[in-house]
Amino acid sequence: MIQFENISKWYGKQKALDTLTMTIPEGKTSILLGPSGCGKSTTLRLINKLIIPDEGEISIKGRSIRDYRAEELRRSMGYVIQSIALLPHMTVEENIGLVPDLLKWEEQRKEKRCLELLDLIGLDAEQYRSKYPAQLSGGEAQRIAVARALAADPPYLLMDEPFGAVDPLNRESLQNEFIEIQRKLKKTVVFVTHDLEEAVRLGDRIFVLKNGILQQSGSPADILSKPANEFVRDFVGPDRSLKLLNYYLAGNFTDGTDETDHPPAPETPELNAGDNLKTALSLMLETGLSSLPVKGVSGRIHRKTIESLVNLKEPRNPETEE
Amino acid sequence: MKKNSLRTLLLTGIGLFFMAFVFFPPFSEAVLKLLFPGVPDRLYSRAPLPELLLEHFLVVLISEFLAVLTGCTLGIFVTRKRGKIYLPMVQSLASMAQTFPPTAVLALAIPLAGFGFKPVVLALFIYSCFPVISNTVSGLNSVKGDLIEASRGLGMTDNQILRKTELPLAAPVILAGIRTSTIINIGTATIGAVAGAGGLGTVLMAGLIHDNGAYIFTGALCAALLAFFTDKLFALLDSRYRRQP
Repeated sequence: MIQFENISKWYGKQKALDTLTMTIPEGKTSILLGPSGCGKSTTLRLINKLIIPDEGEISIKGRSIRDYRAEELRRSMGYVIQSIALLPHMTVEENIGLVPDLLKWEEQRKEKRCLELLDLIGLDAEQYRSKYPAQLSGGEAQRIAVARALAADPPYLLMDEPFGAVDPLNRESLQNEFIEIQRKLKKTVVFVTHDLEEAVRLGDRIFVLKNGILQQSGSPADILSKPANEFVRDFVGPDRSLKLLNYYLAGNFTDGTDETDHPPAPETPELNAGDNLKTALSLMLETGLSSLPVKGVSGRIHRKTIESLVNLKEPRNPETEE
Repeated sequence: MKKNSLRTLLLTGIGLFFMAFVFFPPFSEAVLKLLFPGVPDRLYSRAPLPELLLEHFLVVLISEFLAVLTGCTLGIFVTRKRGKIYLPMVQSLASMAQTFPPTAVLALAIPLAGFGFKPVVLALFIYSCFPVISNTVSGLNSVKGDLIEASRGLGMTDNQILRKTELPLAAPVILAGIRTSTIINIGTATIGAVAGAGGLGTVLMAGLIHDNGAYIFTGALCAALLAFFTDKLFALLDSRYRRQP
């Protein structure tokens, strides 16, 4: 648990953060979301003492970070930044081994950990360990940067727009891998982004910032369905309903009735439990069906359920059941 | 491939010629006789050539060693937080000092520091510092800020950032500075003979005084070849450093 209490930070006369008070929960992914210049990066860098606040107190598990030596604090927090910043004169293995090296691990342990991590991020260890950063693609380099941050198995992970410099296709697979990894590791992640979609996909909790002031904090569903003010409403955009559907998984919203007696017609498209409701709605609009079966889950998912989730009004045209 | 082996062959040839010229007087006698048939006293006889070469080498080695030590330390110091205020001063001093012709440096050193081995080493040391300083500074300054930021974020101390991130990345530029400085040093050291430091300049000066082309040639050739092979040595070192892509 990382607690911010009345944190303020000025850059010259510019107030970057204004009496920020928030609590970052343990073992979850917390997103700091906002437009550029909103103070989200500053907030992140306060946690590992790259920046010292002018006012207020930050504490980790109840202990003020003032009591920690900056270097020791940082070694217990993985750090990933947008520009990747792998050290170009070191191999992948040496880059991953940087923090273990600072912690004076033995060679064998370092090597074992490196192989483990390359496996975790889905890169072939023998092929990649002796490569130099210049030989990697952007996506590969960013995976290595994540591996480097995880090397010493730190309880905290700080990520400053880690996937911002990667092309959209690669970004999506990086995000999926991140979700997978986080599901296994359950780190306390603080993740900075200006991308709402990314925030909704990855976050357990979102903190929306503007001009150094916390606007709203809550689950992605909270932020999308109940924007606290005009700024958040604008920031999430007029299509927030669809974005919200993006966040809900089809498997969790079936009616639960047993349909084994009435198998669906063979042409009926089937959803996967991991598909989101936006896909479900899209398929319904395409096929004109008002409900769809979900593979491996009992019951169907109904258009009405989706509509009630986003508080849409009753449809104007009555549906025709097949 | 073929071009490379030709180069190696050529280098070996020049190297063998150099060795024979220095260590085998009948050979140098023959070469000089061929080039200067009219000069009666072709072979410098007051001191053996290997000894002069060694003297020259030592003057350069000692002064350059001190210059690298001082230059790198100073370069590192002015790029740290504590030394940052001295950076503009040191930088402008270094670039100004490098516009000084090397000959003038020793000419000035004699009235200031006197004659002999030590004053010459001192003068060469000071002069050789400047390329090392300016390259150390620009090498360290060229390290990207986000790499330093990432290193700090991973939990390196300032000292570790310097050793693990900054110096290795600045090394090629620093090495280039040492290379330049050493080559200039070898040339400048010939003038050291005027101030009584010995070395290959002794032969060269004797040739100038006695109007003996063979002496001048001997001194100049040896100094030039010493500089040439030292440069090749640095090239080798540099390619070792850059073996990674």
